[in-house]
Amino acid sequence: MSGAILTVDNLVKSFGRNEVLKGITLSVAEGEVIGLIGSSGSGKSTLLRCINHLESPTSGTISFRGKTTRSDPASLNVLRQEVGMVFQRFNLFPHLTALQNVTLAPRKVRRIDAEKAREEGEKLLAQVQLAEKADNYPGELSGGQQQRVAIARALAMNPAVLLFDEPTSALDPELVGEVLEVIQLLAAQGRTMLIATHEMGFCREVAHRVCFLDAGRILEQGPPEIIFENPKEIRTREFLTRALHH
Amino acid sequence: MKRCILRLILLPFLVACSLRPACADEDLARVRSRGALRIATDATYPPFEYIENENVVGFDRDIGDELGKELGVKVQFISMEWSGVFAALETDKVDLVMSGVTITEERKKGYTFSRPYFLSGQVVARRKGDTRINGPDDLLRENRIAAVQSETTGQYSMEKRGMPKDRIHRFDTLQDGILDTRNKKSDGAVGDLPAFKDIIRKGYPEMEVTSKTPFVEENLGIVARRQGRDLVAAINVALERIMTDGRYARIYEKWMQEPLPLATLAKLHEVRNAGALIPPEIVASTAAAMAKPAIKEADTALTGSAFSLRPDILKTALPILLTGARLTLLLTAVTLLIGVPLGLLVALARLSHFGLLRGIAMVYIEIVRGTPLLMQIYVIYFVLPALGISLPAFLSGVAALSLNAAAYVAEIFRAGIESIDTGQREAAQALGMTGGQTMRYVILPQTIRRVLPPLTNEAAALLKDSSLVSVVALSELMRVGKETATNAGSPTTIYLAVACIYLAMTLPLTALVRRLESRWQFVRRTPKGAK
Repeated sequence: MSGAILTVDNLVKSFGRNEVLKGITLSVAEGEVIGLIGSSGSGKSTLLRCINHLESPTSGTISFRGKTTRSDPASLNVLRQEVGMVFQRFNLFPHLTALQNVTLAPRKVRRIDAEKAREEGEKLLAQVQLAEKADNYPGELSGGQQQRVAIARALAMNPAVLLFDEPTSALDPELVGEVLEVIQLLAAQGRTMLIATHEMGFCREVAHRVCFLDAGRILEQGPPEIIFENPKEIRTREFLTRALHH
Repeated sequence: MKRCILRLILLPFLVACSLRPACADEDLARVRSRGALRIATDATYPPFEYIENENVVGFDRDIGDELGKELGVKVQFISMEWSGVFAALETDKVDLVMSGVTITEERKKGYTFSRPYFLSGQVVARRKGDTRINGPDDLLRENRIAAVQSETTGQYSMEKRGMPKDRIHRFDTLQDGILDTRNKKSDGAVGDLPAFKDIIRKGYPEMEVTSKTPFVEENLGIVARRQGRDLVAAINVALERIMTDGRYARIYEKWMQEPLPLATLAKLHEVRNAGALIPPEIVASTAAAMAKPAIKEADTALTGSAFSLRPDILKTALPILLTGARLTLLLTAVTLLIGVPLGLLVALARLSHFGLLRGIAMVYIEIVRGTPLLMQIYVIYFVLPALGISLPAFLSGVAALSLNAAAYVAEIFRAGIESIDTGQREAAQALGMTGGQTMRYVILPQTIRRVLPPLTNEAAALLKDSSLVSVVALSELMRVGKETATNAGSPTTIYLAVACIYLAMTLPLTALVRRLESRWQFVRRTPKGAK
């Protein structure tokens, strides 16, 4: 793994009086997969949303390839092309087919011509095992299929970093596997990823480093085997006991 | 006889209009140099004025033509809603109003009246043989109800006699008043004698007037602008000639279906100063025309009852109604083509990040929503000319309807845009799309599907609201229907036909929308497998 591609420095985010992130500092190396764990409300989602400025930070900085990211529209569009995101509730565009969902941004943002975008899009859909669903609308797909289309859509912009915001939390249990498989495949290809998740087994398997968030702070971080088997903090231990036995 | 205009609404505008530099009386010169005398009339009032074969005909029409001959100019009769005729006069869109207008002291303050050219008066019409009702005082008795045309001297005369307002049924046309009495919803109708006679003869054999002598006498005059005294002086001279050389008597017989009573011309001479005070040229009266032998009064009904459906009259009426329908469709289509995109722009401005843009859009929406459409039409057609912007009738109609529709469409779009899940916007932004791209490719395509039903509502409402532009002399379907119904003999048939034509226009619209909706069904399916 080479140098840091993404650095978060003392990030604070408040909604009104409610301080959700209380000074997060985190550095992500190129090709690294980071698992974010913690109970609901600990700040995992907010951290991811701040990284691509869906929420603007209250204070602190986020740097991409050494440059501090800014909130003006022009800088944001550049940043967001480099940082892809997969949402808990998929957020596919319901009026477009699976293929159109994947090709929209390359065509309109990267201005790739329609024919080339379609070829690329079909390849990506094949990669997530959905080649035959290219012409179906999201409403005709299962939740797992929709989330795989959403991953293909994010990949279509060829982002340097991929953010996953609890990608399997909205899925029926029997559909979780197919989505995790795809993410594992991406990890194997060396993608830089930040994954907020409640799937502890998956996290342990896929992440190079695990961060435990508690009340807006990274309480503890380290390699998965250490965090999962021998956490220093008592809160981490409590959380894992609850998460693994529920 | 006729109604007072919506003076209250219009007053401020009329004042604004009259603020133009007062030009001294030179209307006659302008009429002469134009070579045309433009006369406004509400052609729903037989036998004075109504529409036949797309032309204004009637007593006033024939008198007006004779006036034109005397002045040496062509005559154009322009039919419009009664509520618009005085505004048209004030804003110089016409030179005169001839619409069976009663000379009243109130009206004389604002306009120049010619000498009286017709003696009229109020009578009561009752169901044939209903001997309880023999005059206006019988209507005053407890629990009895009178039907009148709204804001006419018929209504005023009953109010003056102390009849409480809630016992006076007020209608748009005198025909509707007769119908009300015929249906036993009121005990008698009050209106003027010649109009009643004509209505009864043409379609209400089961009705009669209680007396051939009016209980209130009235003088009808021709109306010019206040600065039109020279024109009125010429009209007075012309009237004198027409009355004395036999033309008046001929026209009278033709339309009133009875010979001109001997006393009438003498009486008309007697009241010759009841109009505006202009030094009148007194012309000696002649009795030559009055000495004619009497013609027997045609009092029998010409046609069947107004109630019998008479498909036979549709043969001539339908083509006329369809020309009205064509204009209604054209107005609606052009308005939608302008109003919907404009509404979308206003909605986007309303949701914009720029405070100024948002403010302008909000003010615009509030003004349009908070004032009546009729008022907006008046402002565009009658008030803007005072500021130097004079649009022809069709453009005025389209402009008023479009500006009105855009405000409602804007709110529909805004509600639609705001109803789209925020996740959609976030997903688009996370892919690097700009605000504009997000709106265009992600939000709007989903919005349009959702706003289709309320937009259809708006379009159907617009199709019907377009009837309001008849006040600016546009002969759309409802107006043509009214004009035809007053003369055709069977208003029931005509109005039924008008209703069918409206339906024939709205049904294809709703069918089209239903097809579009089912084609865009995919948006509504709920995802499977999601919790």
